[in-house]
Amino acid sequence: MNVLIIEDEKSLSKEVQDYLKKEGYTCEVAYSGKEASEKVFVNPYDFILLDLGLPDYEGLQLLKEAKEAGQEAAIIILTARGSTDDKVKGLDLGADDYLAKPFSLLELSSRMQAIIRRKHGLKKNTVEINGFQIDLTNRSVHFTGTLISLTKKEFDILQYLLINKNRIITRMQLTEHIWDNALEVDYDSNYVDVHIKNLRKKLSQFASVDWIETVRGIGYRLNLL
Amino acid sequence: MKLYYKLTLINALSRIMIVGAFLIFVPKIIYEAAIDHTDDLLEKRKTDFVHIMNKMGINKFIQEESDSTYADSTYADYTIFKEKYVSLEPTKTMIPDTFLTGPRDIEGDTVTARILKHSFKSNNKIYLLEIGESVQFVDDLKAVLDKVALFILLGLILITVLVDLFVTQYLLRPLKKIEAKLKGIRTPEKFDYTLVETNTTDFRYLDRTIRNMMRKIRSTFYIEKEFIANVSHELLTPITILQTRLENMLEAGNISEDTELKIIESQRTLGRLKQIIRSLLLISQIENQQTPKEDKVKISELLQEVKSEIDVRLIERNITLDLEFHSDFDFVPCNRSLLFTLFFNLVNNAVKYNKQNGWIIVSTETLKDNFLVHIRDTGNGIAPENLNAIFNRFKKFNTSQTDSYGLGLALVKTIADFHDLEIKVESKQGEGSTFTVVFKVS
Repeated sequence: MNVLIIEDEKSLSKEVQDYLKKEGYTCEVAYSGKEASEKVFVNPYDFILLDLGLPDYEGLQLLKEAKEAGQEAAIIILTARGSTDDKVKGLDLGADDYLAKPFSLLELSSRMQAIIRRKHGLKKNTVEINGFQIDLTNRSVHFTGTLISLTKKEFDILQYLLINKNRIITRMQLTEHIWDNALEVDYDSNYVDVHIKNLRKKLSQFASVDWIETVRGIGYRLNLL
Repeated sequence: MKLYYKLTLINALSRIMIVGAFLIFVPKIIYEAAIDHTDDLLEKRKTDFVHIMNKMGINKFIQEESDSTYADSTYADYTIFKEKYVSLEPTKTMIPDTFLTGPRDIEGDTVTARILKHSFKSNNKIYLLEIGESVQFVDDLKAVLDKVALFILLGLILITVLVDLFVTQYLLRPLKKIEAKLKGIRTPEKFDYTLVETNTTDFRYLDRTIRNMMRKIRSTFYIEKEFIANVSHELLTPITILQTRLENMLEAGNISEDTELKIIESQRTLGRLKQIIRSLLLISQIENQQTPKEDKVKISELLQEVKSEIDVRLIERNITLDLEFHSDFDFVPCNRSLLFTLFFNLVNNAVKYNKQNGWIIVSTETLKDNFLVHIRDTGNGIAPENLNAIFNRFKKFNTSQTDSYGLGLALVKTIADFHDLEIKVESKQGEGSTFTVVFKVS
């Protein structure tokens, strides 16, 4: 998978690159709008991560150019501007997703995976773990035909762990994911733990949930082979 | 009381006073004048009469019959309507000339008359001359004045007061316009900067001064807001770099457990920083009217949603949250997510500052033209001296809590202002606080 990272802030560009490389992506970077404009015109990409706040270029203009150049890449807007206006405009111009700075790399890669799943039309969007059927499209969990009723947050947590399976997810990352836009998030509290506890309680009525592991002091991990 | 009414009232009162004085003094003055005039007349007649008498001799008027009775020795004459008369009779003592007013019987009729008494000697006898003039007309005039003038004057007062009302209203119209411009203005952006048309210099000065001050406030506001927005944006990028770097460090996996925990701690600290900046940005966006206001929200549903979001936070300290809906309200137009944040923050505060096994009651009611949402808690309460400052940015009073950055209530206030809502706080230290959100129903 080819990713073009358009970001004028070099340190940030490097961090994103490091992370995505480890995830198995091939990365190219552009530090200016001009540079990006050329690259977008010449090379095909699977993903374009676009910072709207480029000093030499109007970010949304670049988005237009990419579409006009016939880019089939999924475009994710990264911006510090954060106004809903920009978001709507960006999505109208054909962006696939929108992440406000500051964002977490885990969140970014989760969104990218979601796009891949959507784009490549993975019809079978149901994952089976120890008899639990988790339907990511309809947001439901069944155990041998019986529906397990989860709250929105419980499902969000399960899904996030699932998308990032076999990897430790910190409480912080989970908190930020499920309270995406909430402003009064208490980072020192353990509300995520309460949700996980409830989730485990609901699922364990049917079968063992030892695949949801608590990593002491850090967070949680979903262990799947 | 409005200036308009005050002016009219003062005008009316001063007029009533003038008219009252008029009614009291004018009859007196008229009376005095009439009497003076009559006295002059009487004096002149006396002189005339004495003159005639000297010429013709007193015997022409009084038959001199020695030692006869007084009755025959009297002379009297009067006009046909008895308004004037003259009498002459002998008397015993001399008196100086005197004027007096009194009733006089003339042939059976009683008439109020002004009388001049004059005594003189003739043939060694003393005579008393009385010349009278009826002043009945003065009494009559007084009565007429009392009756008619009162009505006429009252009528005049009424008319002038009405004219006054009209004229003052006309003159004060610019003031009313200035007042209307100021009414309901919460931000200088909403102020109408066109000048009110008037040729009254006082109003013109007032209007211009207010406008200039509004401009000054607006530019100060603007600078402050822009500063916050710029600073926040400038901060967001370095924070992103830090956050991603910390994530990468964790992902690398070749670090000690100790370092790992330190990194996680740093993530949390960074999270706090993010939250502060996001809140500041949101406040400045709302204040700059950059947030839409197009939703319709059923308050009971919104509160239900807040509850389900909050529920997880109650468990730790066994706090009970009750919803009591006595009334409901569809709020339109509004910004749903902002309104959610408003109530979430208020209820979340009620949780945060509550005690073990505490209570929170969220209730709704309709009172006159208002729909009210009360959020009552059994928390620590707020000291009276702090009540006024709780909505200020970065004010934090309960220092035992570390996860509050003093922006929650500032944000609540900003959202409330954005929606024209009023927030009232009542609090008793040690017993709890009640926050009331007031919606205007109309």
